[in-house]
Amino acid sequence: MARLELQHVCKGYDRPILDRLSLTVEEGEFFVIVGPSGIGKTTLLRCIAGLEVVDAGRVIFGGRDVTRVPPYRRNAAMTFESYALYPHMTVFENIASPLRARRMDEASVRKAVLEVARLLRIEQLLDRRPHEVSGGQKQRTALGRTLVAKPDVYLLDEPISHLDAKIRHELRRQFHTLQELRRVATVYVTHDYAEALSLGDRIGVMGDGGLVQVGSSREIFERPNSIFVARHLGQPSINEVPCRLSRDGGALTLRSLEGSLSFAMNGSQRTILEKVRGDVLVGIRPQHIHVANGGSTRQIDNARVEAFEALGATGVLIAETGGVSLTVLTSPEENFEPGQPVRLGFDVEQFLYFDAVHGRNLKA
Amino acid sequence: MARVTLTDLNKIYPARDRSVHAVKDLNLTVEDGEYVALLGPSGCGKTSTLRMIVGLEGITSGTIAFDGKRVNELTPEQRNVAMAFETYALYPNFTVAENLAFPLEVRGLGKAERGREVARIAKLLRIESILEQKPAQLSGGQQQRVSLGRALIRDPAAFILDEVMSHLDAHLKFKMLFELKRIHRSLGKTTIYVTHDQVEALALADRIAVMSNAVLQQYGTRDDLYHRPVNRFVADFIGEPPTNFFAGEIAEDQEGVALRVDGSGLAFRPDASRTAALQQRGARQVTIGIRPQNFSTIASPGLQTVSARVVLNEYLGEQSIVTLEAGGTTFRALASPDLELSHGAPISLYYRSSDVMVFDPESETFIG
Repeated sequence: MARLELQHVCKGYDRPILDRLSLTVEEGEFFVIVGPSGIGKTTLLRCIAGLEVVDAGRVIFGGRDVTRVPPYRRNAAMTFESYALYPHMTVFENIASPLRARRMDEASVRKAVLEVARLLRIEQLLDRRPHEVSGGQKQRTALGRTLVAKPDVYLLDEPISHLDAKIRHELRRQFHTLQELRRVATVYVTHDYAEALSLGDRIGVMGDGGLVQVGSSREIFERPNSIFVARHLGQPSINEVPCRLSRDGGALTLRSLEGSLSFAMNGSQRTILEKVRGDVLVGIRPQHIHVANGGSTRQIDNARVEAFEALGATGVLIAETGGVSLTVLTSPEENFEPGQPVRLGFDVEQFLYFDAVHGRNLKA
Repeated sequence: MARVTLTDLNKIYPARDRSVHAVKDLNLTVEDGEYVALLGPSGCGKTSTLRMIVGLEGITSGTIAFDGKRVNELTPEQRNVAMAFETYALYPNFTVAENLAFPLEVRGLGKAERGREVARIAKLLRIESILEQKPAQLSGGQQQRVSLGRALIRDPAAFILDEVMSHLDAHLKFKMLFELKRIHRSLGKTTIYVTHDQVEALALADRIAVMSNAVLQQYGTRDDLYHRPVNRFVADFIGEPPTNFFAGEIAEDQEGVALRVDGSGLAFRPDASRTAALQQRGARQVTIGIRPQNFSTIASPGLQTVSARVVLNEYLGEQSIVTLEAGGTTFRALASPDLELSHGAPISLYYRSSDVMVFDPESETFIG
């Protein structure tokens, strides 16, 4: 039983990767770290596990300072993106290895391994060796070995990222319902924002030097504190339209620096921007622009189709209006031809506004 | 430019104890200028097929023809196909421009001509600004472009792209999708694209060949695969989140034909146009399929209804995936992220009866 605390942790190689990072993950909390590849997510996990020695700061498990404690005495279980399975051992023995190290009796080992294998649907593979199973099955074996260990802290590094869509959805659901994970602190690393939003009780978005924002799924997606966070979450990416505020008499208008797109600011939007000086980077999520057929949205502009792709459950339209190219999320059942005129409706209340220089969210 | 035809193509890897039949009786035509994706899970035979087309792998039986001309015996160079790989395989000590020019140098083109070609390809791929840099200085996305550029510069009869985007971050991937499509449009070259990622295949290809267990399952457009999957495998493989399947039986009540899910009160209404075909079947047992995105939480005329309880609501930003339970069966639906659905909450879902797919539980083929 443990909560995990990091206090002012520093770690760097040729550049600082973790710069005075502080974080508390409560007992039973599922904390997800998301960020671009190469930003230092795995380094952070390795510092918690003790596989890297921190340059400064403290790592605390359940009140016990483990900063100078070697990894095998920290009671943290970690999965590696590379699986790190023992090639000469069967899947069963791989999963059982942390229990063997603890000299658990045979009957209890069997019971624990079978339980976790059933959960991960690899019961039928227990007698095989790693080279005889697929990549996805290896990943599940590695996950099984971590789950069976019943540690104080789970550290999961991209545990489902190499699996195909079907198993990924299945395992995501299991992460939600696994009681085992609800007893301890879990830190889960992924580059996939959808996975982060789905799984995290809280999510930390990692940027240069550490966590740029920590919050619930809705907080970080709907109220990102900076353009960096907004950019990293969402697919297709958020539309970024650099704009200038103009005040004509009583009216407040945002005009795009390039082209001639403009938005009249009213109500709450106006309140946010009223005191702002200088330029504003307007962030518009693709799902907040619609191909208008009725008149429900507040502002509608004429546009021209540049490209359209029907993907899985969504369609992605790129359309140009007022000299600005915008990405719009549509139904996959639509069909648009390049050059075709369309009318775009904007959910102006959903717009995000960022400081044009520092990228800070002006609403926050 | 080439039309690529595969006729009764087979690939068997002999082995002492158990030989592996990697590609079975494959028949496939890629029209001149067409963009075709070979899609399937790992081990389905797509890479073996690709390697036979390129000439990197011997053909056990069958014919590969370019523009009607048999190429089985030709070397990769003679076939004049260009291939870009998952790994970029760039020369680390060459600049981007030198990497691009290399295939031309091998073919003995003069310096001036090489320079012209490099400039043309760099413009097409929008990498003019990095021509003097070395690969190590480039981001993954830029390296991928250079690797593509090197394949494009040879002016081949066909392009073969092997999992070229699987190393890219999701954001880059998305940009590259539109980029590849744009490049294909402007070049109009026959392109065969191998991937395990359905989003890439669906977005890029004119037609998609879905393979499984060495066998071509279906060859068609995105629309065909989504709305008229030939079997359960295709219906299951195409679509994310995955299609919901239920074991059930054909029943009749006052309102007509119903598809009752075994062991639960849940029932789906098939499309009126399909009821006759369903009623004529001897067997009553069926597999019912419906995609998560085909459920709506908004009622509208002509839609059918099911009632369920919320088990799990996964907020994903643009949408939510809701796991539901009805009469002991669980399934998934896509919903608006604005809905606050808590565990145990009752919910009504609406669907079009034309979106209900019915499969034979034995043969797994599509009935209607």
